Amino acid sequence: MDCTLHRHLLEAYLDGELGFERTLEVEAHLASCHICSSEVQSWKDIRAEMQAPELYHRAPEELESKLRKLLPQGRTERTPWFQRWIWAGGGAAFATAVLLMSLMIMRPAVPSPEQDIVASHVRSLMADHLMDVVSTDQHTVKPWFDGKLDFAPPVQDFAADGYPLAGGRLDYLENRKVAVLIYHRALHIINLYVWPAQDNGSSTMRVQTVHGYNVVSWKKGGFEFRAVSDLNTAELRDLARLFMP
Amino acid sequence: MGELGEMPERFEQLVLPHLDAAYNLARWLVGSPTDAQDIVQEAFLRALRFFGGFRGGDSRAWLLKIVRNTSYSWVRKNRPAQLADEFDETKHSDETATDNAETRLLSRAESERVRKALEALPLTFREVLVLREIEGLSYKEISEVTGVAMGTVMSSLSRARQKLRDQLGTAAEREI
Repeated sequence: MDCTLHRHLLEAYLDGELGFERTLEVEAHLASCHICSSEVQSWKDIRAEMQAPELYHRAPEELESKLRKLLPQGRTERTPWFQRWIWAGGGAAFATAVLLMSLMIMRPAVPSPEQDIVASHVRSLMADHLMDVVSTDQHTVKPWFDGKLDFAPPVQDFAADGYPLAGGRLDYLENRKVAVLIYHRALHIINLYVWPAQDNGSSTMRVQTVHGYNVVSWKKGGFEFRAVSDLNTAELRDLARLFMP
Repeated sequence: MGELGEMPERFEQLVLPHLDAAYNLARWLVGSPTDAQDIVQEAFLRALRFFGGFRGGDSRAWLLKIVRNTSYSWVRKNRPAQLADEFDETKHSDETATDNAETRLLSRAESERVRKALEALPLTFREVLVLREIEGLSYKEISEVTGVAMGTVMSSLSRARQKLRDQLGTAAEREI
């Protein structure tokens, strides 16, 4: 390959749109061609800036509730219990508000679940204890959890979608044992925490950033999921989507 | 419209998770938060109406396509100049001029610079870059959302990148 042909090939490479062999070809070329490799690097730099969280406009909270109200049939069970409470009794309202406020004031002292999860993610990377079972095979990882947990986590390999399963481990969060699935995305590690939800409902994805790590949360099929990584939120959400057919 | 049954439930599971993506696209296409909210709401109602015709597959691309069309109708009605608009050189050169060395040092300022450059691009270039780089869509998905052939997606993406880079004043040494 000489470097006059490339623009499109190079961009397709940058966009992860090349097949395996073509990717290897381009990589070999990049290793020897300074012009192309600086071209790729320069775009990667711009891309990193474009993927800064400030450039992603997340939907305002009130928009979601507005839209939910437009759904046919009022799905009232989505209303948080405390709201129903407040509306329920005028007298109780004041007391509840006071209680909520005091909870809110006290809250900063207690680490949020997301902070716990990020701390656990960071520990897993530092302590060299990322995986208890190393396998890219979901049929090895899933049975491994048997008997170690009181639930069977959904284990799936998404190698074909660019998220190969690397293994699993047990962890402890919010006073319960949880399953952790480890996925790779290029050089990034994704810890996916799974534990049984309170009910069978589903929720939309939420994205949070804690200490520079992105946390995507969702609920589906009776499980709570938290995917944590230093990977950008768009790709982390893509993994989440694979769990929501 | 599909008469109730499991419809709302399914709609909720398939479509609501992409609310951020929908809003992000609308916000980038029309620029203002209030207008973007209105557009998403309208797109959502359209989606609800057409949901009976949704045959499965990529629900994000499906929703984004509706959001995109709604945004374009809005632009056509409220900012028709934008559709004819070529690259807004004057608007941008101003911004580059005020962009001094000290702001460049901060990475926040960097992404601010990228944001401005992106906002100054013509609608179609901005759109393809937002879909690819910010929303992380594949060529195939972009083609689904914009209704443009895959080959055209590639070339408009390529041109958009060139424009953005010119805009940022970081064009590489070589013209490929």
